[in-house]
Amino acid sequence: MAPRSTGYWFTAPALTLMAIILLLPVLIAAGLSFTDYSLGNQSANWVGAENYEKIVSRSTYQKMFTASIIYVLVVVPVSVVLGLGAALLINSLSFGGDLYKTIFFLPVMAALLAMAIVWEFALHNSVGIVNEMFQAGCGTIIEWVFNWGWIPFVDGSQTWYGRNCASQEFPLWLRDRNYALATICFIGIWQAFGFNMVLYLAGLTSIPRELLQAAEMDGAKSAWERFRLVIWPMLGPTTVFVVTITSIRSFQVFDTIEALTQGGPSKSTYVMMYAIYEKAIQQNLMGIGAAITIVFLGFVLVITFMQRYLVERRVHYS
Amino acid sequence: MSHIQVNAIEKSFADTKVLQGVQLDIRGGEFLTLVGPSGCGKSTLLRIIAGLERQTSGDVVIAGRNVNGVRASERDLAMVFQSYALYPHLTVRDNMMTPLRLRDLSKAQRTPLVGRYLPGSKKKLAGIRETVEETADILKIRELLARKPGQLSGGQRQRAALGRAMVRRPVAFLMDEPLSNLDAALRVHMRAELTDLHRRLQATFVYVTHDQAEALTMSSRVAVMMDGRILQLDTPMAVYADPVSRRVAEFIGSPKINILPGRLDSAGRVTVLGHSMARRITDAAAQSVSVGIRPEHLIDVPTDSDAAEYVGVVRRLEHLGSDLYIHASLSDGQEMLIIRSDPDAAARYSYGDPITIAQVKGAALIFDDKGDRLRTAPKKESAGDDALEVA
Ligand SMILES: Nc1ncnc2c1ncn2[C@@H]1O[C@H](COP(=O)(O)OP(=O)(O)OP(=O)(O)O)[C@@H](O)[C@H]1O
Ligand SMILES: [Mg+2]
Repeated sequence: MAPRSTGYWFTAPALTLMAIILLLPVLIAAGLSFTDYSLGNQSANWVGAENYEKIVSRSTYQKMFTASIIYVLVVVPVSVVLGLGAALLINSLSFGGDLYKTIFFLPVMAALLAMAIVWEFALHNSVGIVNEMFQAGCGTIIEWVFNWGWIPFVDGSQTWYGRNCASQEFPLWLRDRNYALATICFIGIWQAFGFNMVLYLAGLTSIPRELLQAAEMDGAKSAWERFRLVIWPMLGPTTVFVVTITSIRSFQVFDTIEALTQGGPSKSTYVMMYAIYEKAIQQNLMGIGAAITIVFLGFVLVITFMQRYLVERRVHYS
Repeated sequence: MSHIQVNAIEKSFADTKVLQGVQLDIRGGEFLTLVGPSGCGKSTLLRIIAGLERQTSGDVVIAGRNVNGVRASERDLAMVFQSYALYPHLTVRDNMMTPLRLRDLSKAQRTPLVGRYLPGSKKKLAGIRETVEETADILKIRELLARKPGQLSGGQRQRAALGRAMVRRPVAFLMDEPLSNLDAALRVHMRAELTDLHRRLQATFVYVTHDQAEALTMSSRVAVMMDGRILQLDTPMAVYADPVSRRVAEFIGSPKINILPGRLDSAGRVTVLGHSMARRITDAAAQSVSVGIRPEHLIDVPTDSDAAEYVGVVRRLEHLGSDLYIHASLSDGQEMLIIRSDPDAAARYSYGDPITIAQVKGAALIFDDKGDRLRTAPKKESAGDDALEVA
């Protein structure tokens, strides 16, 4: 019999690597978050919880939380529902499915920084294709349809499209604080839903065909009945995974912000990742940057634990 | 309980023709088994009857109604799948309630959360619950109702799947190898239970299997299928004792029927390995034939016996407790024969021993060179028909 410590010696290299590569950086960040360290300084002062106090009290950081949370709360549900819808539609096609899959997956594969330039042009307020399109629609049947004036009790001239057509002015999508975050959310959804669709397509192929046929034999006639009885419950594990992954990715959104708005206007798109970048890298305020990082990690941990303990147990059936 | 007709069904997948004009008349209340080797199209035929697959041509008529254009959910049939296909996220009770919910509750009453509070819902749900519990009692799974399929054994799952099929009292039950995932002992047990259930429900059962023991023990009638055709449809005994072709004879019966090459002369006399058979074949031209003899129609006799027809060497003894099967190679070295004997014979033989074999008169089945059965003329001498006679 080998001594009891042998097992520890065998696991030691892996444990050491894990500690150095994964745990140590987090611990260093946690330590830094209590100092006023700047890169290049010889030493740093211990400032206690001052950095965290700033995060809680200053309006800049409140805006940061608002922007991040709104972004996550909009992008996650919309991209998950769209992803599921697209997957169901593609799955029901008898041919052409591969073409749609490729097209919807393109935004995921394209480098977002490169795509950001395209969006920048498209959303430009005078030469952008988006506003040109809105402009061209004014005074035509398109305006008539989309100012919703045809719906009873709706005054077409007072709706969004109606007013903008009347004033011949369309928003500065990325420079107007009323629109910037919504525009960033739209781009986020555009990018995330293809990814979710692919995950859902994989989930759909793993549903046993006999289960769907059993539902048919049991009298589930409509697609909705089959969805409720079989597809949705069987996609449970996929949904948990998709929601978790999309939430974490949405919390981490950075490249669109950096390329298009730099957190502005008036900090309306000042999300956490961008804040960390601005404080720690651009302004060399390591302490506060580290503090935001720790808060950010906290969010991600909470999401992961929610997945693990609240939901996962209910969606695995065997 | 109802009568199902399958008329000239053909089915092709791309360019392979899987079913080639299947004709089948399933009587109301009978237990009909489709049996055949793997890949012969049994499942495909069953799925066409169910409506899960569309036939290339031909008609399915259920209770006098042509259901070609009717989808599976509206044919009022129930199916038990090989994998059971229970809904894994629902308890056994909810699994069994599903078909009744879908049939009896209105769309509004089925809406999640609020549906159950609509007028009429409560009463209907109580009725459904009661039906489910009655069915559970019949299948003896009442104490399993609160469990999920993942927490059941194979046999229990099988019962739950049967329960889900039964609650609705469908026109007919379609079963695709429902016992093949069970172990041998449980399979034999479930065989008896299914037979009981059939007697009790008096419903039409269409049962697919490739296991001939299941086919012979449970069915009112057996349809033997091969290569997308039904070769014979008859009672289990008739299929065994009076097969229409060599392939049916070889497929049904375990161990397999012995086949010996023979010769039919113009007088109708069949000669096998130098012996001519007692019965004559009427109206068939002279040709080479195959002679099939079941193991229980061969008897080992003392070497000096007058009845001795074949001489061979013992190659293997297969002891099954109640029976002993002796595998012997005939003296020409080519042919193997399997002889059923009583277990005591094991004491008399061991590997390499010579053995002399006699055949029960009139039990041989003669097949022509295409494998079709050649009928023998009724025997002239009426006395000692099944006795051992000199060949
Ligand atoms: N969807 C399909 N596409 C192409 N060929 C198919 C399809 N389904 C079945 N087949 C072919 O049809 C033939 C009959 O299949 P079927 O499933 O009916 O066999 P079976 O008699 O049930 O066999 P087993 O006893 O193995 O279940 C097989 O040769 C199979 O390869
Ligand atoms: Mg099959």
